[in-house]
Amino acid sequence: MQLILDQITFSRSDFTLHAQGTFTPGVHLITGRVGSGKSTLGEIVGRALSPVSGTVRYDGISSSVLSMQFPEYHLTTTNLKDEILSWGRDPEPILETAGLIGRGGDDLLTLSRGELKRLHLACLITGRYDLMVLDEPFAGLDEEARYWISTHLDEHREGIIIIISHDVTTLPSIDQIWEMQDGVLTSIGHVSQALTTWTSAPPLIRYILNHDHELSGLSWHDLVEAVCRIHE
Amino acid sequence: MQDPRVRLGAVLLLSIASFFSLAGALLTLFWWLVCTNRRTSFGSFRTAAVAFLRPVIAASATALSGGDGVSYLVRISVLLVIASWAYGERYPGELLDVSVWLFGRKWGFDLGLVGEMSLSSLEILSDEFRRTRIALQQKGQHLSASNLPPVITSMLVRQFRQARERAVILAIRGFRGGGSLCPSFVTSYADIAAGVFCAAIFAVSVIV
Repeated sequence: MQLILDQITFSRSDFTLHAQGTFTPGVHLITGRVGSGKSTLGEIVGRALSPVSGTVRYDGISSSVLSMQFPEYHLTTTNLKDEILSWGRDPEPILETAGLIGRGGDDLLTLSRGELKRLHLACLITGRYDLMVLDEPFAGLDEEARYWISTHLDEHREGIIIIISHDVTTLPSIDQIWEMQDGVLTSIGHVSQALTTWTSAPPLIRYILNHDHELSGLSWHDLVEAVCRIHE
Repeated sequence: MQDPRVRLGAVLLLSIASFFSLAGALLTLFWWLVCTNRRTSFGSFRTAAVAFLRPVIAASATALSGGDGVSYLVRISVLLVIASWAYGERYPGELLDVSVWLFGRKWGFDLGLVGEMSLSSLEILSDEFRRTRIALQQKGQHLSASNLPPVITSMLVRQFRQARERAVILAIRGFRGGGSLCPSFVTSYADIAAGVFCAAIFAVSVIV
């Protein structure tokens, strides 16, 4: 199973995106600055946008899902129970997972964005997909919910999972790092080898690497352990 | 066409010309072919087909009831083409620029601001609708009579919330009406020629 981006280009106004690479089973992180084209690439990979040129090949991928950045975009019903059913899931376990027990009949519009995001992600990541594209899955969530998502992704590592995020504080175990810079996708490499050569790493990672050369991964646990070593 | 004043003026005059006479509509179509880059905001054949469906139905009904359905269809279709062209050519801030240039920094600024916010809302609605279709696709569904009401309601509520957020931002920034803006425009010879041609079409259609 692999996802192949073959000389992909996409243009919108003054912005042009170029992407080339192969995504194999595992967890991939696509990071980069806001406006660098991460979400656009996510939509192309998630079959929501067609590239202007080049091809996206889904070898052995029979099911895929795209989680758009804002959970409101996914709403197609009026209450929580119907929304969960629209994903083909059992309402009670999802409500429990999302911390919304007893609110199945509530209007979706009464939920905060954080609650909506929890509900949406609970519906989505409890499904089985060959390819899962999560655009900023941690945005708008509290620490507990972020930790739950990362833990769940760590425990259910199936197929290709692409996490698009500029927040690197609560990630699951990442296999490969990619970076979008001004619309160009670059492979940084496999974690842990890539960490030492990642020149444009986010400030937190740079800080840890400067003080602790033993950082072996980007997961929440890896970062906590590294920071603890710094204090020692 | 670079100058939004010419473009908006042309839309106004050519819309009147097209609506009032078949000759005006045909001349307007000629003007669109000659004076523009023939770009429209119809992104696909399907979008264009949906846009032209209503005038086709209305024209058919008019023809069946003994009226001049063909004339109606041509005139309304040309109006749609001109409107779509103007929408496709716009750039952010042009309504504010033209409005301040036309009506001054008090009323002109307010009118331009309302226009810009309305256009921005239309763009957001269009984008949200596209994303909703993606969401439905992911769930293995299509837009239908059963899911259309919740989808539309959700989009409208989000628009209201966004309008409130914008109002709060304007209030926090101390907006009470009017604002300082020095609009600048680039006018090419082609713009002037297109404007003169457009005024001539308007005059001919009114006389005819």
